[in-house]
Amino acid sequence: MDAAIYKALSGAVVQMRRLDVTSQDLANANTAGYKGDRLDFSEVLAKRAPAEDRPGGWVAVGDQRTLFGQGGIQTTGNPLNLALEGDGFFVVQTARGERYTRNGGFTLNAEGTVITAQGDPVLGEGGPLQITGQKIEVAGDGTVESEQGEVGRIRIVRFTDGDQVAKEGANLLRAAPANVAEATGVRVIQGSLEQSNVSPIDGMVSLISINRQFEAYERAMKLMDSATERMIADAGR
Amino acid sequence: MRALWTAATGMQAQQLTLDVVANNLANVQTAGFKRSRVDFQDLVYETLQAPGATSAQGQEIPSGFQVGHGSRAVATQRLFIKGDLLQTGNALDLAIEGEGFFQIQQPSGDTAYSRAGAFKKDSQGRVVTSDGFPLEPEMTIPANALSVTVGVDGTVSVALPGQQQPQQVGTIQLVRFINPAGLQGHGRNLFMATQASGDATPGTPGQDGLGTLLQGFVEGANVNVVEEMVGLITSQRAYEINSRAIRTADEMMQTANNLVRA
Repeated sequence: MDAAIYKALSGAVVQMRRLDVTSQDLANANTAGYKGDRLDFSEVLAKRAPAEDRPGGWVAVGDQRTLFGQGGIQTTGNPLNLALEGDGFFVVQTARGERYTRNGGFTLNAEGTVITAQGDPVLGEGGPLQITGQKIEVAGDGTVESEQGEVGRIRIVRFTDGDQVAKEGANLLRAAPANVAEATGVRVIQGSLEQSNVSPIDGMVSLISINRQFEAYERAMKLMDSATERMIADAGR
Repeated sequence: MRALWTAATGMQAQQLTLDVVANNLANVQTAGFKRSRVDFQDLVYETLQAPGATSAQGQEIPSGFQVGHGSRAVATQRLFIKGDLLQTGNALDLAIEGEGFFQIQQPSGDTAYSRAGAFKKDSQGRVVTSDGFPLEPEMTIPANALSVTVGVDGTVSVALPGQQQPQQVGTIQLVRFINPAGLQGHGRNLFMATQASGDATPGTPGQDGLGTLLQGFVEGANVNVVEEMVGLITSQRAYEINSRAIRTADEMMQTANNLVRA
């Protein structure tokens, strides 16, 4: 049986994967601190054939990388909304260990600890940040001041290898400790949130191209099928 | 195909934004109203290929492949930014200049909190809200009072006929919360304390970080119409593009169905 039809099928499957990733990005077009993904495709060679004689043409998802480009800064006026400008991430203490996020939509709990919308404490350089009173001022370098004076500095880290970072949902990222280093030169902007870096226009174009490419693979499969059909009919004559 | 459901979560999230924006806009003239905003999160990811796994060719895969399941609204955040002060000239219209809330007694015996200081007198002369809920601590304005004066520190005094000195009838206390964003909206311009907001700390206006009182003014809503309109446009466009993703998924499934020839 000719492998060509399966090659076309592999292409169609890849388009479905692309649609899954694109629609995830678009669903999060308004999620603060969300970073879009890109898929890379790779040609898969037939196995077992001698190295110099491997027919190629199968395609599969090679890898997926998160594009950590800066999102727009939106002013919200809430003193506990913090946006980051530059290559850095907030550190969140979850029950599963430290997690990282660009979503600075924080709030306080009843004890005055700075927490995420999920309720996990946001870490400063010396542990969770404790606010007393209602005054909260965050300087550009991440120093937090409340009514009783300085309460700490927000810990900001960066990844040495952005490809080795996994998304965990709830705006959290997971990375191996070896991949995390303290970041410098990142500016904290108080009263603002970083918007999603997903471009709806790119998404739109992707949707059209996915649809058309999928259609093209379908045509190819149909064509190969009718060729096989004709061949069978001719051979039997 | 996951994309159908992923895009549907995106549409749901945008619908919720629209609900919140509509409520903000509906209350653009409500005294003491505080606008809300929706916070979103991405949903859990399914790992189809873990980063660092070994491929069939024996090489380590540098980055994995994860597909998410969309977005969801995680919280509505109330923004306690000050609203504009509007001069009314009414003696029982009080605005708080700074932090703090009025305490409003509920029929159930609980205390609710409010920034809407448009108070009235009821038939017994008690100071009440527009809904008739008394202000706490309760105070009564005598029927024969000529005028009512509220000091910046909350002292309420009245001028009585035939008396030179004004007579003090009570003191308005304000409360503050460590985390006002944790208060629960209760309608009728009222908020209720929750576990997240912490307990109310009462105090005298102008002391311990509490704001002062301003007589003859009410605090308007802190809704900025232009900002809400921009929010409306953004969420409408996001809604549109998510519906487009659903259409693409649908068309692709149709294409796949066409593969089988009749």
